[in-house]
Amino acid sequence: MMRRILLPSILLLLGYGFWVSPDFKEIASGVAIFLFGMLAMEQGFQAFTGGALERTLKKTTNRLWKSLAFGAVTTTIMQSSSLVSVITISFLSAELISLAGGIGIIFGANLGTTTGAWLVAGFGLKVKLSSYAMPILVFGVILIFQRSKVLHGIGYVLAGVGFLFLGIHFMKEGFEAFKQGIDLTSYAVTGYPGLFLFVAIGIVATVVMQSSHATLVLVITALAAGQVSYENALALAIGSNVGTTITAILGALSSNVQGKRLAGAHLIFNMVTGLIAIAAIGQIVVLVDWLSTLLGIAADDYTLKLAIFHTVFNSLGIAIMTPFIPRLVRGLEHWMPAPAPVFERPKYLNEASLDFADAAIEAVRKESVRLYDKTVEIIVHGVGLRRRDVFGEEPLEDLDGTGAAEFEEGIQERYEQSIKSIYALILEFISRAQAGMEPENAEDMYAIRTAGRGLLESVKGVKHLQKNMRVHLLSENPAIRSAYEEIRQRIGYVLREVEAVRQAGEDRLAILSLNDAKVAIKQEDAEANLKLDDLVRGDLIPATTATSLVNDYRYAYRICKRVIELGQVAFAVHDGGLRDAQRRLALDEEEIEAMIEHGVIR
Amino acid sequence: MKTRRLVQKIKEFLSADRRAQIKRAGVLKDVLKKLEKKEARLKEKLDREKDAARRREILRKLEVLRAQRKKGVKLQKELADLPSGRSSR
Repeated sequence: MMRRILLPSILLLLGYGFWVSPDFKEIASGVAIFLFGMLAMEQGFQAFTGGALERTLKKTTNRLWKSLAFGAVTTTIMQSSSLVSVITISFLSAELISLAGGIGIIFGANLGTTTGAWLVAGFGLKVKLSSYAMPILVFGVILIFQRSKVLHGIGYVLAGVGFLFLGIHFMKEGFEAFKQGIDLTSYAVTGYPGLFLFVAIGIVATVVMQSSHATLVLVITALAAGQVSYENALALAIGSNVGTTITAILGALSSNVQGKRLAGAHLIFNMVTGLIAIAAIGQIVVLVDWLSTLLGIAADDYTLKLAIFHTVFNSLGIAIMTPFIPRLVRGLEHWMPAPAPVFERPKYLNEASLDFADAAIEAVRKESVRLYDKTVEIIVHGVGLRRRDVFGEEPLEDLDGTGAAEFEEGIQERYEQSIKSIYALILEFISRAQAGMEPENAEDMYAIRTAGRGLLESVKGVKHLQKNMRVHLLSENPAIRSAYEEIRQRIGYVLREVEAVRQAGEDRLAILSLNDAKVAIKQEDAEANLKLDDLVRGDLIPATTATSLVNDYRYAYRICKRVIELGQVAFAVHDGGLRDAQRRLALDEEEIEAMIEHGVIR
Repeated sequence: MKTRRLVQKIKEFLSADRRAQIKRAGVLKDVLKKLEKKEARLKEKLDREKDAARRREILRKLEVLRAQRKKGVKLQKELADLPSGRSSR
């Protein structure tokens, strides 16, 4: 509810602001262009992820000083500590770097971000940035149109820099015009209440803009225009430093526990640094004044002094916190423990049934039924179908196009958690039970083991099939769409057939009935391939899609075959003799192929 | 001679293999009967079915069933022809 109201309210407020004040409009558009520049830069750096960048990342974070330097340098180059922290979270989530290394980068990024203040304070407000922005933008856009991935990336980075500069220019212009209107300094609050108030404003502004850089630029430009007092500007800088962690926290929301730990470290570091800065603000200001005199900065050049302040308090934070990194890592690992992987346990495999062959076979069979159910679940949702449709009364042909957007994500994870773990324990159970078993019983065990192994293949097949199916089920080309719909129907048909056999009860001829399903899928696979040849010859589908289809037919065929095989084992009758008789009567691969080839099956 | 044949008959009767063989033949007969019934049901279904695709599916099922039955009958014959005491495995 809040979410629904929030965005329209912000838009309305902004609209009203634009209508009332053209200066506000200029500042806001400056912020917008600045943020857009950041987005473009992020897009540009994405072109360099993978390969060389990852290798460099590993090499440059294996020592604490290296990761600190890496964080500082990359943030200086990218001019965004948020971007560096979010990228670091993603690398940490991918286990490319250690948590301590990640924390080092975050600490370094806090130092690196201070260069932004220097750039704007020392360079941005004295030079007409817009004069640089335009040529950079032009070069950037030209490079964006290049085919080469590297040039394309550089283009985005340049365009990003161009927009950043342009944004700063607009914000500066806006504040300068503002100066004639209202004097913000008259609202200045002194002392600790003012400090806390402006720290809070700094936090809120940074959270809203998602960039401490943008806040700092605003603060510096406002300070240069005399819109805020020096004292309050310092408090805003402290606030922006705390508020900037919001991007990392948001980024960590979708990451694993390692990413969350890093975001936690980021928050702790910036909060502690902020508290130190608040507590020792008097001493830090004296230090800043001393440094300014040493560097030959005029006593009233508050913008440069703010840059020094920003650097000093962040350096102080790093100096104080760095020795505690190992303790911080331990603490974070303790507070945010990695969730223990949830592996399914078998339900029917128990020690007692190991002593009797029949009991052992029955336990394994029941467990294989569970395994079958779990696999079916993955397959159904993996190909974007719904259980109620697959096992319902509606003809499968009527399900065309339904559920295309409901594909199951995380197939691998589900496979690891439920199927693989159960199958591993079934295997172990079988090998223990088989010792000293009669050959007939051992044969049953072998059949279950083989069918279970086929599941590996079917789940893998679903994973591969899903990639193309997702795209092609929404294709504009009806021939492609219908080919993938047919694949889904075929899978649905097999699942339905197996379910029918399951429901048939003790009188069932599971092995023989499903033998027919095997014939059906073989025949349909052959027909689909023939149809595909016609489609390619008739230029109805491109050759590249045809290649994908050939592979996907193969995957679908294997999925169906493995499902049938497990169904034959899991839902076979309890009577060993009856099972054996059915196995002898079932048609083998050669016999099926011969039937299709000789046209017995049409 | 007569005594020897009688002993042989008793031996066969007591032999586990022979008993398994007899049991197997019985089960096979049972399965074939079930298949026969299933075939009859499918034929009825085929007569009622008007939809071409469904008819084709039933026809395929019938063909597979016939092939399975053919295999079963052959196996039945083999079992009957086997010298007593030997399994068809």
